[in-house]
Amino acid sequence: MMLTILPAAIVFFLILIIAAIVIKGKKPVTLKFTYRLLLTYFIVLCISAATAAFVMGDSTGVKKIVSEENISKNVKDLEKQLNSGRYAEIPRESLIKHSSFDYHQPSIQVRINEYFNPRIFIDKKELDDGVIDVYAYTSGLYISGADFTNQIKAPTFSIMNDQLEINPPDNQQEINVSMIKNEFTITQFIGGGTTFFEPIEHNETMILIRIPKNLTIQDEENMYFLQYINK
Amino acid sequence: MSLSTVNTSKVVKQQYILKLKANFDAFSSLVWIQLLAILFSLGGVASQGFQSDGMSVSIKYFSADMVIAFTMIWGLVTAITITTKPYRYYDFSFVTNRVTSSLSNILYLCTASVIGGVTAVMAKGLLIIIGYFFLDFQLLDYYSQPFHVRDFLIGNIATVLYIIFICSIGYFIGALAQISKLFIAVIPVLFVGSMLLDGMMGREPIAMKILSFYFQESSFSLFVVKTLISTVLFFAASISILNRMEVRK
Amino acid sequence: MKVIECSNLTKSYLRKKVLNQLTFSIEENTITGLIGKNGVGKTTLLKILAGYIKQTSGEINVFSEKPFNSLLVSANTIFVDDQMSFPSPLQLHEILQAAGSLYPNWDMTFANRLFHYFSFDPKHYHNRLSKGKTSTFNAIIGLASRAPLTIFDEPTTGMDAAARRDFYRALLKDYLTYPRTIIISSHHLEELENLLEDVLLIKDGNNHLHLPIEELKEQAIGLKGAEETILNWTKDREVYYKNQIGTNTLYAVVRNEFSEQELQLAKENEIEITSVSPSDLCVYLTGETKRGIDDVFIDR
Repeated sequence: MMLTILPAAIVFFLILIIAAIVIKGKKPVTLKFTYRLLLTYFIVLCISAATAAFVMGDSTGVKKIVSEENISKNVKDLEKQLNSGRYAEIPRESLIKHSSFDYHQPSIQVRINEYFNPRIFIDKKELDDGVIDVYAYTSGLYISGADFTNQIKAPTFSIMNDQLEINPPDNQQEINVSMIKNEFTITQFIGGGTTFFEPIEHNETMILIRIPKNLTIQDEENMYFLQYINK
Repeated sequence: MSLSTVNTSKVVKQQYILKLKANFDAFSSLVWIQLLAILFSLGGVASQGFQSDGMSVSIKYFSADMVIAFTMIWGLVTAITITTKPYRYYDFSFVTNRVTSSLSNILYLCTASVIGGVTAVMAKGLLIIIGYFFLDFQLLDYYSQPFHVRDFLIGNIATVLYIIFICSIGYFIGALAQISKLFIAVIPVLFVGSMLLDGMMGREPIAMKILSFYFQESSFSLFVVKTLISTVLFFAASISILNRMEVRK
Repeated sequence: MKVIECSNLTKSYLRKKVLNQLTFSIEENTITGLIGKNGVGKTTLLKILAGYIKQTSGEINVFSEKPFNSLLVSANTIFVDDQMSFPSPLQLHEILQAAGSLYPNWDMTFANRLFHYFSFDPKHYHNRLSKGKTSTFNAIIGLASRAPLTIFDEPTTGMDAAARRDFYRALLKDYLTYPRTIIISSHHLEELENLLEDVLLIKDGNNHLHLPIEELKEQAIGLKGAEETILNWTKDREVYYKNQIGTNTLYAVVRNEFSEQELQLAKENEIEITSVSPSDLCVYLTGETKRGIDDVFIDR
């Protein structure tokens, strides 16, 4: 809400400044006024600086920082676990969605939204219980090593007639992050760079579909992204 | 009436105090300009975006860079202003010679640079507060380079030095302009012309080399030495130019 | 001691010579009037004395120093004219304070008394004053600074008659109590006659005349009578001015080299003898022609 006021605020301020310059031309701004203005401004700055330091230490931002190697390790682990069928070992946080569907038809088509490219693992169950379980796993979202995994929205699963549709989440999810950076007068000596680029690690979602034993998947040859896991 | 002896440093000091008073409205401009810069910075001074799998991440960077840049411009304009005729003439209503006039101007500019630099660096706090309380900043604080006293001091000193340096350049340009208005046109032409020439020859423009001499100096003490010496040189050149100017023609 | 020593001073602007080989000197603690027609170079000379501008050639020494860029000269000199400028944010009382912080001999009590006498508002601003008030304020600064060399360039511009009288009176009184070297450039020589000690007349960029005012009063004599008689009487004399009055009457101003008997003889020849005021004399001396404006109206 406040953000939409911003352009209006800028315009308002500009008008204020122009008006002030015009009025200043007519009547000399007295020394006292300027002195008070400067003093007030300085006090405001001091208070802000103190509060900001306090706020920064107290921010609702994420606390944990994860190193790059850990991130890639997580991805590999997830992949391995899914691949070998040891999905029970997958940590809870990685599971972002689980849907079960009753399905009694002999075959099924898997449809993926074209903008969405998850890896799909198919696991055949021991039984023919007529239930299809679909799981979505993620290996995390890290911005500069900060764990934003809990912000990831799950894809949607639905079954229509003989199609299992896997779609990206309904609303384009937006994550806004504010980073306070040091000014060039500091980064010039300390480092921290003039480039504004943070590593963002987002690893693709992996989907596990557990199908009843005798269920076949239509058009399998073209579904190259399906991967059967071997036990 | 017997002749009074005169003490140069006393004259400079009195002139400096007088100029602080007489030019104090420059500080009200400073406040407005910094507030404006903060306003502009609220949208972030840089941003980075990322999209995949139905999700978009947008990172906005906030810093006082813009406030510092605006303050530098303010310093430049202030320095040029006090070289203009009306301001130079004021001194001659009282006791002065051209050297004391310039020295007191320089002292004034140094004071202005310190005030401008410190407030610019501290404006970051105001930026954070406004963002946090009113604009719903999602702070990545621990990676957002945390607050170190050492950083703060270095930032302050470097900012102030940059501003004084730019003031000395402004004073020099103003002094040149007093000799002839032609200089106002000549300098930008030289600047742009040399950049074009270097561009055509495939060389790095000399302007870039000059800028990186200061802006990419990573050793703090070397930086201090470089800027201080350059500042002194510019001021010295300006003093010698203004020392020959007639007033109240 | 000679406060000002000037020899062969020349100042040219482009190709026009404003001051041409000007030579004179001024003694300490005197009041000198600087007289001359408009544009003859009085202000230029004064600005060179004050160190504002440089001469093109020649020598000028104020307090035995070159005035340009001399802190000594600046601290002991004040130049008052209507172009005196002060930083605009300063109020009048702050300008007085500033003057006090810089001028060693500044008398704040004196300044304040003058300030209140002329009904100034301390919180007013210099650039808002009327012309007459500006001149008055600037004059106050000039007086209260008690600078050993005080220069006034047309100090009474815009002042009403009462203010002018007050200014001259204040100047004289303060000068008597605290003597200093004063130079006043003015067109109102007639008002200054009681104030001045010396007169320096500039003509053609040159020192035409530099005399005590007492001598100047006796310098010339006015003769009025029948045209022929006057022409006879002035044949071999230095004539400063001639003017025809009526059909046969001529009024001439001549150098006063007459003895008592000659004057007696003139009176017997029906020549009216009048004294010539320094102010009138200066007008005649600096006149371009020996005639008057009436010539413009001849044949109309």
